[in-house]
Amino acid sequence: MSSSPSAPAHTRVTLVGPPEAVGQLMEALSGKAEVRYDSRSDPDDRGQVTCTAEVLTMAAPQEVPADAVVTFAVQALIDVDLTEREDHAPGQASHQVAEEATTLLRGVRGSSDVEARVVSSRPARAPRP
Amino acid sequence: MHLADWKGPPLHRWPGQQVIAVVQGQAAGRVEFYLHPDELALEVAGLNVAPDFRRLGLASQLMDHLLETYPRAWVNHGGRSVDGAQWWDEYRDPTPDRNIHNRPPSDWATYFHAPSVAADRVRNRERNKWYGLDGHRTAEYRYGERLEEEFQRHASHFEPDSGVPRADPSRQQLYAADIVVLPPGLHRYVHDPARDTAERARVLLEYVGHGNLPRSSDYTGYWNTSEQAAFTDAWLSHLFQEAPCTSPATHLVYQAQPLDADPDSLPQLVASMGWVDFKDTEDVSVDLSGMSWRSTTDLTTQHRIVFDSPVPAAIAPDAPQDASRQYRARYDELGMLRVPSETIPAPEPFEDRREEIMERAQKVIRDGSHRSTQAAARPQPAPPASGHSQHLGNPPPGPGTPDHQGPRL
Repeated sequence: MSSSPSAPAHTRVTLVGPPEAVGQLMEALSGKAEVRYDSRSDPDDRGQVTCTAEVLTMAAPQEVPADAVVTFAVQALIDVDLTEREDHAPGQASHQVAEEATTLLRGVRGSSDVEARVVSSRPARAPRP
Repeated sequence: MHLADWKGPPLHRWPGQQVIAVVQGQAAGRVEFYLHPDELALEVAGLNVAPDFRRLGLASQLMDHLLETYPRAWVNHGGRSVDGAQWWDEYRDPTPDRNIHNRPPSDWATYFHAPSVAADRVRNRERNKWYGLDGHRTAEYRYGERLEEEFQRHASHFEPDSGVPRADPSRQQLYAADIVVLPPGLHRYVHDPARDTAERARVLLEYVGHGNLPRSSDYTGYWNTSEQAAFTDAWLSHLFQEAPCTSPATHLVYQAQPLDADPDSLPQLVASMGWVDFKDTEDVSVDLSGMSWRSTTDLTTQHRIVFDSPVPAAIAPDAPQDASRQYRARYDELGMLRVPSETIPAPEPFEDRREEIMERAQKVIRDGSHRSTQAAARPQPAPPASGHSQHLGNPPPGPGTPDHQGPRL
């Protein structure tokens, strides 16, 4: 089977730890690799979560021919007011936000195989006194 | 096609098995898998075909045979390599309804960790996309969709403990195989059922060396919970060897008593469900309770002995410098006993008839003296034309005989 250009490398990542730490590490990983799957358990009795992830890396930056189908990994930041949504809980909201972002991205001309995922969430503003 | 044990990663939750395709005595390919003890679920771990047998459909035959062997089992095909993705694209799955990738996790989540299965599926999908493969996507459950939420909901249903205990060398007899190529005379002797089995076992053990019990290599040297598994190790080792040995070899299986140690002071080891792999670089003392062996020229005839009393022996150290002080005191650098076992006095078989025998001996001496006196008075006869030597019989070949040379496989 031809391997030119270099095929992406797949890596299985399992992280077990406090939810915040796991979240930070996955966020860091998403800056270096395409996170293709990210499943996190609920906290166990010790408050730890298990994250099972599948990430994809390229060996080196690749030249993209003009007539090719190209995969763009887009970093997007969205501030969302949870009080305006029915899915108030952050976990539920992140899933819905990913779904809605995917729907919006399908509007990109020439696009196919669109996928959006929430890599991290944090307060958008400093807490009000 | 042959079904046999497979010594895969020892810490997997289920025992390893394999289907091997044997063509003209040669291993042409194999599919390795883990099988749940209830035989209602299996996980494919690898599928390999030897270079000389590729593009003949052998991989598909192996998989078909596996699926036929366990007709009720859920099948997890796992994540695929690049070659695996190419093969799967051309394979016609005869039982798609048992392929867990085609079914919702609610059907099979007690056997398999659903989030890991979903991760495998994502990997397979990415490979299909990159190489432009279909990968039976229409058969697959929710192909190309986000699986995290649904599959995570079933993670808690997973039951990783199948209830099968791991091998315990402090409680179980264990069996390890070795393959030895003996000098022809010794080979004939140890496989001759007319000879005394205990003596043959003694000679075999002395030839190999009491301190040379095997450590794990590619196939042999694992300490199994059954004798049959050890013989299978030897068979596999023979089957997969790259340069077939032209001389007949001996499959030799040692049976060791449970180690005389509490579980906390056992040597460093990894225990699977049916076998133990001693990882300690130091030697491991064992007491042998028996041995069995067979020739590669006749795998159906096994010779077996259970020792009257345990025979002290040792699993060889990883390297000579790893040998313990006790080992060095008992064995030389080749693993041979420093004090041959013959020096240990055997019990006298005629002890209870000592007086009777002594009396008869005295009579024979007296009679002989009397005849000598009479003969001296007569003229001497001419010597016979040819000598008549006493036939003593050939002693069994052993470590001291000149042909005590031969490679261990």
